[in-house]
Amino acid sequence: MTLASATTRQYERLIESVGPIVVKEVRQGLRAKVFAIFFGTLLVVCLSMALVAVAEATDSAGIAHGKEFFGAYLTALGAVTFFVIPFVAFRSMLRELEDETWVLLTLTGLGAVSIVRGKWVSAMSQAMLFGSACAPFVLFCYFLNGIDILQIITGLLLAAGWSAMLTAVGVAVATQAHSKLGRTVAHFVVLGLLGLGTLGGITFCWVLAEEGSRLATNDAFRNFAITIGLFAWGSTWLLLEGASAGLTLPSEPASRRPRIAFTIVGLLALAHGLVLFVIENGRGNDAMGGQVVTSFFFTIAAAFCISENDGWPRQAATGGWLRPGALRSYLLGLGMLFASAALWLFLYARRDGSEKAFRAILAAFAYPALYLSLAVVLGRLTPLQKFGEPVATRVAFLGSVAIGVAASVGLSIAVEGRPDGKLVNALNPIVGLVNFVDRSNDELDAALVLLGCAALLAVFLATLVLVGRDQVRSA
Amino acid sequence: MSALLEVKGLSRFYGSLKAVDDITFSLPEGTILGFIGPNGAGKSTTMRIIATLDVPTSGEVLLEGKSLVARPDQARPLLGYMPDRYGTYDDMTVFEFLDFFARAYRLRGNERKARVDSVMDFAGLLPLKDKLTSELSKGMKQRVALGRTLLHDPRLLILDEPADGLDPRARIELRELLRALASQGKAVLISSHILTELSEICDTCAIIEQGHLLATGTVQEVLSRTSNAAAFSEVELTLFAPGGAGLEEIGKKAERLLLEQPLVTNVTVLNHAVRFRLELAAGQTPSSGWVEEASVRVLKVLVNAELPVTSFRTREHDLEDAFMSVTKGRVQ
Repeated sequence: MTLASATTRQYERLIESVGPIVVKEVRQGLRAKVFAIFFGTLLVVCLSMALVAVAEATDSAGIAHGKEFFGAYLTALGAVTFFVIPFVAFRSMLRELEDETWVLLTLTGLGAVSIVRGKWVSAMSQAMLFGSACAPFVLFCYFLNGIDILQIITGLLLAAGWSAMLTAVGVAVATQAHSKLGRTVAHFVVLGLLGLGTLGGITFCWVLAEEGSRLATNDAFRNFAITIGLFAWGSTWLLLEGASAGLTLPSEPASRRPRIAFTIVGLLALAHGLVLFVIENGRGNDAMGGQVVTSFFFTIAAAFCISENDGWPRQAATGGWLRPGALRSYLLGLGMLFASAALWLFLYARRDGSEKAFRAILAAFAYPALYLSLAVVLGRLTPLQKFGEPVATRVAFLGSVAIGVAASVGLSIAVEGRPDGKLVNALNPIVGLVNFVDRSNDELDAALVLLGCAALLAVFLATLVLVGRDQVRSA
Repeated sequence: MSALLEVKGLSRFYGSLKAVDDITFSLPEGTILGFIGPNGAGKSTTMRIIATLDVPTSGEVLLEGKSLVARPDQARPLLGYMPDRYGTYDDMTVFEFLDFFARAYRLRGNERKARVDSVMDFAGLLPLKDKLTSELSKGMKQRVALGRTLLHDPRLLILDEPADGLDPRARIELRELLRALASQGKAVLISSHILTELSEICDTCAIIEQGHLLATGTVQEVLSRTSNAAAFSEVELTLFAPGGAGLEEIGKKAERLLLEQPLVTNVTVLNHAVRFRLELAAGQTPSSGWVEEASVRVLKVLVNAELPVTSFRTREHDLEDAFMSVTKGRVQ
């Protein structure tokens, strides 16, 4: 056997072992002009910066230049892997929906999970190519002084995680756009999210460049970096499962995997919070911060959960709690929010926090419960229902939050002459929560009772609505 | 012949809209069934349900006796679906496209290569294997799509408007391909607006309107049923005048005589040919053989009047007449 034929055989074996979607996407991706343009540009930029760095290092020997060039290289890499590649993945998935080729792929038996995973893996393969082209230059910063190996490795790992998450964002947004209008809106949404994500990612790269030397010595900074990494990978999993559910045919049960992912990621997030609280010897008031952050994360995930269709298809009548249907997803969302509140209340109680923290922990549970429940009820009223239930529920969620904020602030200005009145903002999910977090006042007890009653009523109504609709899908 | 596909009481409602309402039909292997109906009649919805892309509100679809509603995953290897949009990837060559789908169908190594080659050979795509699909004509793209549908050797083919937008040559070629597939024992469910095309391809047909199945059976059965039920028939006769002398006068005489006859309307004289319509009065119910009886009576009058009639024929009903006869052109 010649070397050439052995290589070809090995190549064929490799191609056979990876999924067909990955093969197709990588083949298409590498052939696309956008890849060649950005790959070439990144190399030229990196090379130019390296020349400038060498010139500066020669001119001013002994001065550390590593930080600024480390930040600059990560910025160049981030621009491509945080924005361009996720956007290309978004467009690629959107084209599958526009041309309805995803339907043909599903009929082959590949399934939504394989399609979504294939898109993501191929985008990440391209990101790795960009990363491997840029990595030597990033390593070169070590020789410019001012930067250590731990920073470089952390920077590259976090950039990979961030890119993975933003690529999953791109793929997930595309799978939710099944109509022409939806696809137009999806472009704006994805551009906004990727823009913000890129900005955040690059900003953190610079923070890491400037302050990254504290990674070895400062526990809080190191834990923050670890949290960012875990958040990125946890969100990636959730987004990919959400994307698969969005691409599932009506004849397939779509809820099982996203619910399992949400439960595991949620429990891991709580466990991570617990570990951080213990090792950093957190105080009662730190529990308040933990609750606000985790409940915000769970609220975003739950907003997608509650927008599931009501009931279950005939062929998916079994499965217990994993059976399709908005009722079970809604209860799961509420359950995760409740678990978060319970954990942080427990930690708060063990470390004697202030009353303010106690109220804020409860409020951070009550606001999502109230607005998620409102969205469930409103999303099932005509004419919103005409948009299709998943979209209608999401529109109702965003709409009710916006109205809740605007109406409370308006009322507060009218009644109290200022926008942050305590009682009138009791149902305001932003100003109200800020009041609970920032202030200590007896008036806030009444506000919490009002908020609690409203949330209870909304949860009751939403459960009633969903129980009534939890049956075999007949339309 | 046992039915490969059985559709029983299939319904699909979208809220108050009944897209498909209680449809029942069957399709034996080696048979081509034409699914005929106006836009919005429920053809595509029915086909999507059979292709496991949608779920019925009620009813059952059996493929080889097994419910594809309950176990769509088990049915998919047995069926090939070609939607009205061909769904090709513009930046792939014909070979890459088919090879990709063959991989997706989990065909491996030499088996995959052989299958792709055989499909390209069958669909006449071998000369185009290295061409980008974006460079192909509509007819060729449709062949590629048909090739994709055949890669896993399905027993049931579901083709939604495959002839739409094709030129006459491509249509004829498609017809030949479908005939060849049926002769291999595959069952083909095909929808089209081009009814003359369907009547030449199909063994059986099903006419659907507003979600209801109006007629089903072999093409001949549906034709005889609808032609018996039709309230009119077109007739053409030819007159003979040596050297054309007196032709105008003969034509006028024929026209006058015809207009005197009951049930005769719309008489047109054009040189040697006289065309007219036998039509029942409004409210009259067509009985079996009324056209033949009326034709005999008219012909007798013309012969008795010593008109030189050399031919007399009623135009045969085709699928288009059958379609027009049973549908009312309502769209939901």
